[in-house]
Amino acid sequence: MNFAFEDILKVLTGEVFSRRNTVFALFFIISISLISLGSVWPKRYTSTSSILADGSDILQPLMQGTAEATRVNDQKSNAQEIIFGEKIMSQILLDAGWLEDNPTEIEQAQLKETIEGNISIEGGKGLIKISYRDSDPMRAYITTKRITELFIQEGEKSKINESQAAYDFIEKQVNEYLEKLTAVEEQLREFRSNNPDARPGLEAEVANRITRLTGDIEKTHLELREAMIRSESLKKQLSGEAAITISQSKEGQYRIKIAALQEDLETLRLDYQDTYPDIIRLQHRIEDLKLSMNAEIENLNAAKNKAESSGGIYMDESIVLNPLYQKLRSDASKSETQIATLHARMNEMNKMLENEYDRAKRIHGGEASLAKLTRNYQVNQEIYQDLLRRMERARVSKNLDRENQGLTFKIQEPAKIPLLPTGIRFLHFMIAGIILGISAPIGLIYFMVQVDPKIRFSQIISKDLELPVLAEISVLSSHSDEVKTKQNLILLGLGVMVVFAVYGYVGWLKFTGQL
Amino acid sequence: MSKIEEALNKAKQSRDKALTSVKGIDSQERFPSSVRSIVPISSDEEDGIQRESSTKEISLMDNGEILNKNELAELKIIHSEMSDNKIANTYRDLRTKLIQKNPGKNFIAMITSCVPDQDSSPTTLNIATAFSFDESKTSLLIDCNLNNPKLDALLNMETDQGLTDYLEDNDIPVDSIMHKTGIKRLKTIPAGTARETATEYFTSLRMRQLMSDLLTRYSDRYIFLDTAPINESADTRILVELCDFVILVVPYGMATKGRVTEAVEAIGKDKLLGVVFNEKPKLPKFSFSNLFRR
Repeated sequence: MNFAFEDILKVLTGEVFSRRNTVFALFFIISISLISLGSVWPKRYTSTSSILADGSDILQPLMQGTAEATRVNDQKSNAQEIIFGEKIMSQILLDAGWLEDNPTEIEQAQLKETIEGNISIEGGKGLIKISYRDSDPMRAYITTKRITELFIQEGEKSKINESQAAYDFIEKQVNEYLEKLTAVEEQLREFRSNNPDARPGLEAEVANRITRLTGDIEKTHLELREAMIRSESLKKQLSGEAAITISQSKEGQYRIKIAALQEDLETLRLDYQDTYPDIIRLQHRIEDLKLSMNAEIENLNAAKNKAESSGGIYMDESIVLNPLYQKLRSDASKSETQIATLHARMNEMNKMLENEYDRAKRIHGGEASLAKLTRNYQVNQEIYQDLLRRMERARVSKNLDRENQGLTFKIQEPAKIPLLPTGIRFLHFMIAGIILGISAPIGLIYFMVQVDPKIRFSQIISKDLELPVLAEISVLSSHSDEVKTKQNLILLGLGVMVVFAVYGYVGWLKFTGQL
Repeated sequence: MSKIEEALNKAKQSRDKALTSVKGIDSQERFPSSVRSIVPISSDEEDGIQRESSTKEISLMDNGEILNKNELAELKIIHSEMSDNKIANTYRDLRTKLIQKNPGKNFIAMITSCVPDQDSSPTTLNIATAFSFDESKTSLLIDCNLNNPKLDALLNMETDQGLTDYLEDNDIPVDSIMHKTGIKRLKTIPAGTARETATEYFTSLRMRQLMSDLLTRYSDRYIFLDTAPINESADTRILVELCDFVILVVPYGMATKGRVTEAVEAIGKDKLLGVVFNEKPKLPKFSFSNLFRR
């Protein structure tokens, strides 16, 4: 059944009043125990520092593509890794004065665990926040300060190490490839010296030569054929031609001339008398010619006689060698010579072709291994050059890190000595003591009222049980009861005052730092 | 013996006669619904005359030594001059309700609690007192909780003879068991000295006769039976038969619903007039003058 808030409040106040002693006892116990707890509760001081992990400084855009800036992807976990590392923790133990009592190994380990538990690291958007809680403000400050310093130191060192390592690695690779490259070069050189004609494009050249040779041979062949045909035909012609032809002798020539002169004389005689000088000169000339012709005939006969007498052949002056025959004879001879030449050339060319074929065969194997070697060489050279470039980049990156120009850690907010304790403070205990002291018993009573099946509301009788409620009568107290109640209330009031006085006193002591 | 008492005795004798005349009916109906059936109801005219005379009689009634308001307050009895008259008014309202529910006639009201060890006696006493506020009414409080009578202690008095004595000894007159209380117009019949086999007392004819006699003698006398909690006592269940109605007292924060239902079943729906929800915690009125006033 749901009751009006007012009814519940009435019942609650009635219950609280009738159980005021219990309520007060609970209030007293709770408030006093809380303030006692609060006065012995260790104070926690938190010192905080924040570090700016700036990965994007002015150099980066300048060096884009040349140097790789060291990046920190998960700054929080990175910072945790570094800070919770053995190195920093041990240093902290030493610096914050934990080792003054000469703790054992196990105690040290426990101390580290405790310190780790009190460190909180928050990271986000390039800002790393490091907090450390301690009961001693000074120690909290020192610890936070040292953690921050050591973290930055370690962070930078690791960064430098990282770029150094990268550089070293690349350098090693470069050297490796250099060796490889040199080896391939050596192989190539050796191959070349073994195969002098092994050059790139040789095959094509040989092929060209072969083609040319083949063409030449064919041409020569044709020429040869031509020459042979000519020779044949010359020979044929030669056989049909006489070697000697009869030509006009001197005698005959004289006769021809005399005749011609005679004719001229005749002609002149027609017009002139024989005394005409020209006829006389012609007569003389004919005479002369007749004398020369007789001398010639006598000479020839004498020569004939002489030759017959000496046994030699007499060459008739009118017998001459046939010039066509002579010409054909010489042409045929020339042709023969040409054929012989062409034959020789042909042979030579065939020999050369064979040679070229041989060479082609030879260079075909060499070409493959040359290609392989060349390829190796090229690949290695490419990688080597790339690595060289990278090495230069790495060198710049390394130098960047060394000069703290890459990813930089800057202390944004240095650790401070905490003046006020954090976490649950005495004031909280005081407030909680009062509030809990009041609310806990009332809450308990409220709970009891809700849970207890006993009837506390007349509505239950009238509505649930449907019985007419004639009257609701409050407790009738006698005068002495009232007096007792008053006394009781005064006592309780005094008790409450005592509690407040205790609060005030302890609060004052705390405030003035005496406690 | 005063004149009034003589008159009372006379009236009693006449009533006794009337009672004996209807004795036959009574023996036939062993358990009538209430003692009222035994009594011949007087006509309205007679009642009117009687009322007029009774008011006078009442004003002349010997109330003995009257308790002052401080004594009453100490005994946790309501009085008309209470500083916090809220409770007195509550009782007055209750009285009005009871009269409204039984118009024109007096009654025997039984008041019982439904929680053992939480008897209804103070409430009964205060209801009776509330009735006695009215100058035209008297109230009679009968302590029927024979095993554990409370009224004497509540009224801070010592009595010798009471109900059981009357029921045991036929010679004892009714008057001798009626005691003054120190409250005007309120008398009591204490439980008495002999307290054995209570059930037998209440089923006895003499008990019925007594009830009937008490009820009918004065029409302005209201009779209240203080009884043991009904869930515990068989006597109380028997007394239900003798009364006109029952008022069930449910103390705050003591009774579960089951217990109330149980009590209601024991009483019977027709006899139950209603419930009084009492013992509600009350906050004192805070004021400095109040706090340091003694």
